[in-house]
Amino acid sequence: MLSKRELTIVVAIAIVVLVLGVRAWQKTTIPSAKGPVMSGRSLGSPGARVKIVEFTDFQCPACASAAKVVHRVMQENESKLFVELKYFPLPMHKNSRKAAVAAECARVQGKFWPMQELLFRDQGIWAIPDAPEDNFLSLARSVGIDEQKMMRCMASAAAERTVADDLQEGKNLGVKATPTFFVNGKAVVGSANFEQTLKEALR
Amino acid sequence: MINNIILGCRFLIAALFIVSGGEKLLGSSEDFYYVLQAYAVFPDPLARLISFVFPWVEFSTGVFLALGLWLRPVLALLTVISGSFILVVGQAIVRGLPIDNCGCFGELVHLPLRGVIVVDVTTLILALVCLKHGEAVSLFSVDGHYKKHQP
Repeated sequence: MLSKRELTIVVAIAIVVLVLGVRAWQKTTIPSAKGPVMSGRSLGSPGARVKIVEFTDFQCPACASAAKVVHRVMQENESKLFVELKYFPLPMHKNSRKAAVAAECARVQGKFWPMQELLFRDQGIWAIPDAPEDNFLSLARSVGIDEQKMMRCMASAAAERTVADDLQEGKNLGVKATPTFFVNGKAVVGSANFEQTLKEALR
Repeated sequence: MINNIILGCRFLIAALFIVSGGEKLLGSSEDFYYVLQAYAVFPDPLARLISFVFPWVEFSTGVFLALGLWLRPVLALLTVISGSFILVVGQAIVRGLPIDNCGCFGELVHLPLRGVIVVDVTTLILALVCLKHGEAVSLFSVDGHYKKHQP
């Protein structure tokens, strides 16, 4: 019979093998993302060699850092990259869904990119109140968005539907954390991993 | 009767830790790292380390508890873990951090902070009860088997 110490080692090895085995199986079953499409939420050239879809959450601090990384790599490799942002508001962040709706309403008026920059910059402010709509309107005003149209849009179901569609698409692709990037269809989580994968894709 | 209840507590805590640890292990460690960031209590390198190590500890603790292997040390560890959860979640509630879902079960179950603190306190109490009733908790356990067959 195995001693207690030997059994402990066997159980520990079994746990590691089980977890790594399931993880490996999961990796083989994750579908790849559809390619990015040109929209108010895209940047770069649609014919670029490296196509990136990013699922982001405006209330996630790591997404704010990732936005800076995306901005920098776009400046350095403008002709080689095509990026599209998709909304993936995590349920743990109470105002991120409303922020995604506000960003979508800014997109309708052609101001998605300046709005997303402000949303990330001020995420510590609008994340707190129960009703952050006034914060979003104030940000929208500062980038020249028509306030009345913005208010109508935020109250409508259309923008909410776009956010819900993105969220569902992300879930179907196995996205669980933000930011998740699909670099030429390959899933990468976090900005550090993204930069590494991007370097390889640009080689 | 009381023995069965205590045994049930052991398996309940084990299931809780297996599910929550497993969910984190099968997700990305980045996912749990972002959850830790939201609690704004750990410095960045420590949060990264915890996000990698903790799900393994949580899952393994659950498995060892279910098997009844090293019961007392495992229950003591569970008490410390539950106590730490209470402190981390408690400070988030006191500071009014904007967290709608605790993130403790990944995407599997969404619990608000006030809900999860009830779960944590209950787990802590159950772990302490199990610790106190060493004989009852070691029924159907590997520890019990080894004790019986001690030379």
